[in-house]
Amino acid sequence: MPIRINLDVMLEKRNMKSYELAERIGITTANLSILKTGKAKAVRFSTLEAICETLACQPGDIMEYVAD
Amino acid sequence: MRKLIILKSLVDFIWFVSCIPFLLLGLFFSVYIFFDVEALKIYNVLEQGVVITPWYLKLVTVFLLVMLYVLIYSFYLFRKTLRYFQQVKPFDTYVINTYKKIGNLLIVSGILSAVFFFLFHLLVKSELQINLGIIPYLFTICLGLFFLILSETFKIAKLAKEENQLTI
Repeated sequence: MPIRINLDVMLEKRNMKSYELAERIGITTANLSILKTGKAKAVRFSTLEAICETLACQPGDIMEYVAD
Repeated sequence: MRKLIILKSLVDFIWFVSCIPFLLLGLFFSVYIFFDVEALKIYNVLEQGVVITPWYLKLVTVFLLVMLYVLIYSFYLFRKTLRYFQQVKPFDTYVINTYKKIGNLLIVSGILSAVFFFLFHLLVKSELQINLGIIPYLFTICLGLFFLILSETFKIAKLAKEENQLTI
């Protein structure tokens, strides 16, 4: 998939664990894992907003376009 | 899901009361007609007291039995898919593939029956007969096409469901 998710990098920078983020944004760890591994087909704006708010970052910080 | 329970009960009833006995009787009869010349007595031609069974009559009977077996097999597959509906898994790959299989079987069966009986009337009875009304062959073909469309629709629905599940 040409969209790469850099959530791991941001979590590392913020020194936060996956389950903590999942808990704060109100999604399951399983769903967060789907997002992190790039298996997700779509991301809701509300989820993106919650992630950006919690990690204090921009959408571009957690995902980037990489041509195949 | 009361409708599904009623449907499953009816399908089970037809399967155990009609299909299974027919399978055994049909198998027995298809072998029996090749040993007993009087098995197809009503169509026999009597010539000087000798009973003659035309060879094509046996062929037609065997063909009819094969076509009926195809319909019974389709019915068996349909019965199996109902279990997936009971388990609330209607978009399972098995259901999609089975509906496609049923559709193909019904279409082939309908076309072959129509062609076979057209040729039978033409060659044996010397009649050119084309039925365009409500005939079982057309009905079977329509049913087959319906199952193919159902299979395609379920495939689209499965994709939509997966997409929905993978939306975070």
